[in-house]
Amino acid sequence: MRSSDDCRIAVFVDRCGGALSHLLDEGMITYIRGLPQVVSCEQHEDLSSPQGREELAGRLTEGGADRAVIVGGSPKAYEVSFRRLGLATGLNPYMVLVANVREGVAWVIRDDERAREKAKAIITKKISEAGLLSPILRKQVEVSKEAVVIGGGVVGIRAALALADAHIGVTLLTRARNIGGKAIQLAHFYDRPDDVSPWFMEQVERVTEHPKINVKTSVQLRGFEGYLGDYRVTIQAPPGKREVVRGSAVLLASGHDVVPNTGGIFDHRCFVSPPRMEAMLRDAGKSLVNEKGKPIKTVTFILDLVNETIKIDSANAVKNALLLRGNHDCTVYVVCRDVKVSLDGMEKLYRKARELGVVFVKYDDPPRFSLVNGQVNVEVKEVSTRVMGDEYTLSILSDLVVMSEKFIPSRDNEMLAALLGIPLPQEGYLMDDNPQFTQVRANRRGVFLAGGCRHPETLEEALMEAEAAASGVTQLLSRGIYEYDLAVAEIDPAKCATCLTCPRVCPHSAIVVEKYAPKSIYITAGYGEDFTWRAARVLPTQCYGCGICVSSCPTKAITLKHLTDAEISLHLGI
Amino acid sequence: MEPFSPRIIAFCCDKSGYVAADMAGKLGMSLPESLDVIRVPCAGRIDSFHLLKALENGADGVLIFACHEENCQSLTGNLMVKARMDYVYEIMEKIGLERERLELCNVATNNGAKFAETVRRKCEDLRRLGPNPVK
Repeated sequence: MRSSDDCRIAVFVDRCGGALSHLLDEGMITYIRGLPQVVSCEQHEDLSSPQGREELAGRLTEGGADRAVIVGGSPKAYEVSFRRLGLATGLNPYMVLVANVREGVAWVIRDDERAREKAKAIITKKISEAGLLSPILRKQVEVSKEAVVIGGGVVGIRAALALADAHIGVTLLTRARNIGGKAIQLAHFYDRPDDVSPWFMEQVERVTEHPKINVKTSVQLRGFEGYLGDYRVTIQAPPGKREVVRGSAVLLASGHDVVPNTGGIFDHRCFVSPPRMEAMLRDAGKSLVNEKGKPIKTVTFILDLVNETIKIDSANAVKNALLLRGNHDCTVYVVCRDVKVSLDGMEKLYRKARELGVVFVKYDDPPRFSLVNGQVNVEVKEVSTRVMGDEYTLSILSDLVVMSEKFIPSRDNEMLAALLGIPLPQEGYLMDDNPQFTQVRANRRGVFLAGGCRHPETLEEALMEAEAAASGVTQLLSRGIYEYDLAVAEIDPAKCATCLTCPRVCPHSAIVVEKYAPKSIYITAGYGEDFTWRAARVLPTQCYGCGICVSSCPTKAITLKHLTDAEISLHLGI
Repeated sequence: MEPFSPRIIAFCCDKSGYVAADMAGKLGMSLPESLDVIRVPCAGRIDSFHLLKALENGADGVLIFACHEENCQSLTGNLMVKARMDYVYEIMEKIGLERERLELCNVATNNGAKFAETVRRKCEDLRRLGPNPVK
């Protein structure tokens, strides 16, 4: 592959404030000037400084250059800002290359003479690579201010309200007959002294009355397709007809499921689930009584038999223990493996509980239960005293034992993952695009995840997540247009064999198969000229430019605009 | 006589390997001058023919620096290249090239020292193996 002869390359040598002076001396400048297609070679002390960049911006296209190579530091640091410089003068950002002779050469090769040779080789390669560049355009698509929220639980409600308040129209879809979900089971917030239900009722009321929110209840998801700016969700209210709901972005807040924990427990009125405990606390007057009217004096919370990695139980147990101790004068034991306090304000709450006399008991072996005179005897081996030599077995005679329920991934997750093209790891919760950098974003641009479909979370955390996801959607849609560089993969429909490899390997579900190519090299005899062959197409708004499809394509029909095979081959010395 | 300095081509994932290479530079680790770094957007961009062509064109060794498994920013890029490498190993075995000439190394962005160490170790290994017979 040879570069075209008529390209004109401007080279700028950046001495990085003197760090590269020994390498990029006069001899090197003369050498660069002598390379083919180089029209100018300027040197500068520090191009990455504001003054340097300003000067560079004005001179990028001097001498009629249509592409530029900057010799200096690592492209990771300055490439983006260098690329944008040319815009004012009409130079396409992707026509600027950075040759790394600082991190790659000057700082790693001790011998000056060898370093100079190496730098020469790198610069020569970069300059011939510059000859292969072609401009990459910046495009924009219109995105309507419409979003679809799937899930009518507290997360969906919070997200819908946040979006609607940002003037984005919302269609809220839920499988249930009413919006609300599981949050109503909670009596109190852990982090503030308020009751949940009045606040929650107000939220539900606002959603139903908000002019920007359209609530559709009792609907099933049947289909999902599209891309950022035009997602089409097919829904069906089971006896009725199918209907297509459109939105520029989709926020998935489908929640998790809860099943009662039945392992090793017998059916007795002394065993209650956390929601029942919350209800008892909500309804209790001055004194807490059980069904038979007997006062409840001792309450034991059993944690970590299930849900060992989930902190909801810890938060609720500490919160309720405080209430029981403070308002109802009960003796409270929290039997757990670990108290999970990694929540905002939780450490303080835990401290307060200890000060009020809540007893925390740690176990390794699961506690045993037996009935004694209508009370439950909880036998547990206390391990926090083990360091002192002996191990004590505690017998806690309790009027009430609160057993945590088990949180499991929603049974819908599998269907949702298949329908939306979101990866589903073994644990069964839907996965973010990147757990570190893009937390509430799914792998598809414009699809967001929040709440229990990602991981079961306390109400307070889930609400924060809902707002994070909603602000992600707002950020994408608020301008009404979405701008992107066409630095993406592109499929030549004439070469596409429709083998469906690329849609399968694409990690961002950015490739669709469309019926648009007029013909294919694999066209079979017997079909007329007007026969339209199906071919794959990359949706440019969805593509992240990773290039996985490019090297997977068996017919080499795909090119990656910002790193073509020709450019790699050049480096390989072909 | 100067010791044989093997030519190593290192494909570096833009998200991890290249940053690690930069870090090796910033830390001033010494690297062999016969190392060629090729920056790719994701390790999944590397095709089996790139690897074979690199060996055909006289590289003594090829290294791939990709993200740690299950930590790829494109979810499966590092697994894709691993699968392709298995294919390349098969071919290399058939044509009589040593397996050691191709290696995948999972690095994180802050693994500058590991990057330099891997390159130096590879350099030693290749010196022992001798030049690429294809050359």
